[in-house]
Amino acid sequence: MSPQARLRAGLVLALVMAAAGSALAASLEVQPTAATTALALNGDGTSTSRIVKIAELTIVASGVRGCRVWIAGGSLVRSGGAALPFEVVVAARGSPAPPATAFTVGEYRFATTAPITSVDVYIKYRPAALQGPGSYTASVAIDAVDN
Amino acid sequence: MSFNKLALIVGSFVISSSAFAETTATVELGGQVTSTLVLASATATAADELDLMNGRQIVKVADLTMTTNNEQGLTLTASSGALTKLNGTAIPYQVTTVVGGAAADASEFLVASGALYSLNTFGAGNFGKDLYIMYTPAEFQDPGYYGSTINLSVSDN
Repeated sequence: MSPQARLRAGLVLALVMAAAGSALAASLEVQPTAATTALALNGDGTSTSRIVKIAELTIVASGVRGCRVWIAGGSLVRSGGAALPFEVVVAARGSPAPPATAFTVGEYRFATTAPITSVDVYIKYRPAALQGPGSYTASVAIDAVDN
Repeated sequence: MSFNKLALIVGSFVISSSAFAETTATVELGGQVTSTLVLASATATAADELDLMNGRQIVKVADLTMTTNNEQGLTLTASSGALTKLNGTAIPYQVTTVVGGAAADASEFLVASGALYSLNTFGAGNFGKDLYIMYTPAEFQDPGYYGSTINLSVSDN
């Protein structure tokens, strides 16, 4: 093979590998539950700690080494009112709701090892007995990176 | 180094950099807290056994319990007026509230008889108040049973 032909073959190979590489990023499938945008928030004089499944999450790793996943905790907020913090944890798909002690304040991190991992995402929160009236919202960010 | 090897190295670098591309998703959360606004009034026994024969009286007529989850608090209003009976001279009374368990004195009745008494609270919470009236019967008040009704209401600030 001439040097020019070898160069062309090498460049083609590199392009093919680059294309394969960009298709190999981990992917996430998120299916929010119906409860997600209708969370029970009290405010009626009683205070109840609540654990709610907010989404079914499927993590598809591009390689055999799995992924690292981050899920951000945070607060439900409304304009002019006190924020309502929540904590996050995941449980294996279909397993019972995790206990209150399983939750993590702030960012929740975990790693997967299988090519495809299915989990349920839970939040825990406790509204104040007289939580101020109004509409509360939050956005839970989920990030995944291949190992 | 051959071009082929160089190309492979470049290709490998592209693979490893793109394999660490971050993938993100979000879940939107939301919920509604409705207004909680409660007023409970427990009428005191003395309210139905008012002394109408011995000059000016200050009497606790009810225990009030109010609750709101409004962070700006609530406003209580109470009507005042007169104790009346058919064909008798009315006995005007004023109203006020004091912190639950405290006693009221004459200086605390700032709203004239017939006017609406109002009280502002601040912040969400439970508020306990005692409702008092002050009245002065005539020296020779016409005999009979005198009655009146105090209307109470709360609204969020």
